[in-house]
Amino acid sequence: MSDELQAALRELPQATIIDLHGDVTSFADARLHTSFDNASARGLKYIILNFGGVDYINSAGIATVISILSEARGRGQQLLIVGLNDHYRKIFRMVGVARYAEIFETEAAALDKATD
Amino acid sequence: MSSGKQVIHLHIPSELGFEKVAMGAARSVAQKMGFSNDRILDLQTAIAEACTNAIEHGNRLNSAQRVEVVMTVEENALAVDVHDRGRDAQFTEPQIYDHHNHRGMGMYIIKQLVDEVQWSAQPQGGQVRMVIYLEPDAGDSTSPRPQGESGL
Repeated sequence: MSDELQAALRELPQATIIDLHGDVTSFADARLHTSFDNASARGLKYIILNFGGVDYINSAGIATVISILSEARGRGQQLLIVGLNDHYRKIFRMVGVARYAEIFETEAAALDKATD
Repeated sequence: MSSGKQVIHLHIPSELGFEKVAMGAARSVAQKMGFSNDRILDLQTAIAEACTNAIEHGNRLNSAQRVEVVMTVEENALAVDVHDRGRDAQFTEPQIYDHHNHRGMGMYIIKQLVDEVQWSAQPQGGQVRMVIYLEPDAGDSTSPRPQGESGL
């Protein structure tokens, strides 16, 4: 029943973008961590998580995102979040994710931040 | 929808992913009742979290057991009860969640998104009852739906 998460990396000069498609639930944990590790290995400060292809996120998925946030901070890197719809943007703010990762409405806005 | 109570029963397998069946059914019912899309999304997320809790922690992913979802259509509200068969159900008020414990986060999210919520441990298993009103302030004024942001 779960729409398995697919994650693809796009390597740009100022940031690495992880494009997500599918469900962000407990089933996505390993793939999210692997994708983050691959993106992180480039050594750039900014990694952008693009949720534009995600329709369903639950608390287990949010817990994984928080775990990755924590790992990124430990490596001196920053995660930026884009592509959330209004509902999930509200949920991310509700549980405090927005205090530790900037959330942008567009990829262009996140890339502007990464260029600063 | 016709006046008077209408009750819809769903039985889903205790397998992660099947909560999406309950989400879809809730959308259909809530749309017929005239809820806004924002409220329907809130309800769907709350139901998903309740069903996931029931599947994982109530029925412990035992595929021989079902999670029962009962939607009761009332004149001005939709009540959703989610039942599991967990014999050792214990619920604490989710005032603060623990990011390392996504069950607690799920309960916190439910509380934020619906107008009323009640968890209970019955002899036959755990139960959560969630209610949303067509007019958001039509519920018990002593239990307002909080809207806040919490830190990690």
